[in-house]
Amino acid sequence: MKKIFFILILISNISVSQEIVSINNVNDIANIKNENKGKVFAINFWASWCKPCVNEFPALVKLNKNYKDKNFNLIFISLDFKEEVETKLLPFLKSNDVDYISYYLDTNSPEEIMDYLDKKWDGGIPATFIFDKSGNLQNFILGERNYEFFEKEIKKLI
Amino acid sequence: MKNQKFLIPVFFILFSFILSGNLYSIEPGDKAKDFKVVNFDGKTYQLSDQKDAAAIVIMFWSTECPFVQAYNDRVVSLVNAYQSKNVVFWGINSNNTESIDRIQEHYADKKYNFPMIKDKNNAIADMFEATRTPEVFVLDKNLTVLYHGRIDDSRVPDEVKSTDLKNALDEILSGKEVSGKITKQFGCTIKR
Repeated sequence: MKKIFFILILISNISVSQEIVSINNVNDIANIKNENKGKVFAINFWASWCKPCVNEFPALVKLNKNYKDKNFNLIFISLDFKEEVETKLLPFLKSNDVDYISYYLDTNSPEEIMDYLDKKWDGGIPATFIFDKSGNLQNFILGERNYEFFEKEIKKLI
Repeated sequence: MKNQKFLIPVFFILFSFILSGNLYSIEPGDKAKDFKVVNFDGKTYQLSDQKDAAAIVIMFWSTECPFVQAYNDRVVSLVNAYQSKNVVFWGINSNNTESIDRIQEHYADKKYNFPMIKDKNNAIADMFEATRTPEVFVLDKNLTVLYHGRIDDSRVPDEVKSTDLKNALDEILSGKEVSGKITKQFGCTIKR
């Protein structure tokens, strides 16, 4: 994984760091899974240009906020285009109070990543993958959902 | 994978779909069900009418999705090159968020050289079990699916390494079996 952006945003004298890391291949996804073993975690593929993704984004941010102390982690992987990371992705994350590490996809092997996560996934977003504490995929969700739906799904696993 | 759902024929005042049979997941080797649409352009489109086509290319499309917009020029070029070889191209807009006015405006702006069919109530997308835009199916004149997947492997024209749809059409026109029958690509989910 190549760290390409690390910026400091000053908001009312409080320093908020926003780290954006590129995902280049299946190994990067595997690393994220390994880092989160022992927790229930969800990987959400989205983009700032994708309306249903943007619609459900606040629900996922809220979910992470409410459950991060309950052994849950949410990982955002954006499909925003590389040339728009600074102009669109970062401002969007900032406006949604995402001040933790976030990812964007910059890969030449998208099919490998889709197949690695779930062979049924053919690339549509938003796509959310929910894993149990052992790192096993428990749910693949294609399309927009609300807070209550996501909360119900992770409560089954926590 | 057979999915036993049933379609009820639906009729609209301006647009009608006459669909029949079971819905099922369509993959290469499967046969697509016929459909007939009276479209907003005043024309009628029926798959089984394409008896003289060397191939029928069904492209699930959007006026908004950036992954689709990246292909506007490439698709127009592809249609230019293959229409004269008796390949039929139909765009299908199944997004319930995109109005006919918007589709017409976008169509004129992009100077498309293939018809764009409004898929009311996602009937066609459901038949094909299409999930995203862009998503392409290539059928023979008997409606057997020969290819399912992407146009090529990169949204950025200069970074394309595999022209998957073109390769499939070339193989079909040469009487060969399509070598890469299924491909995948990121895209926008069809809004149902």
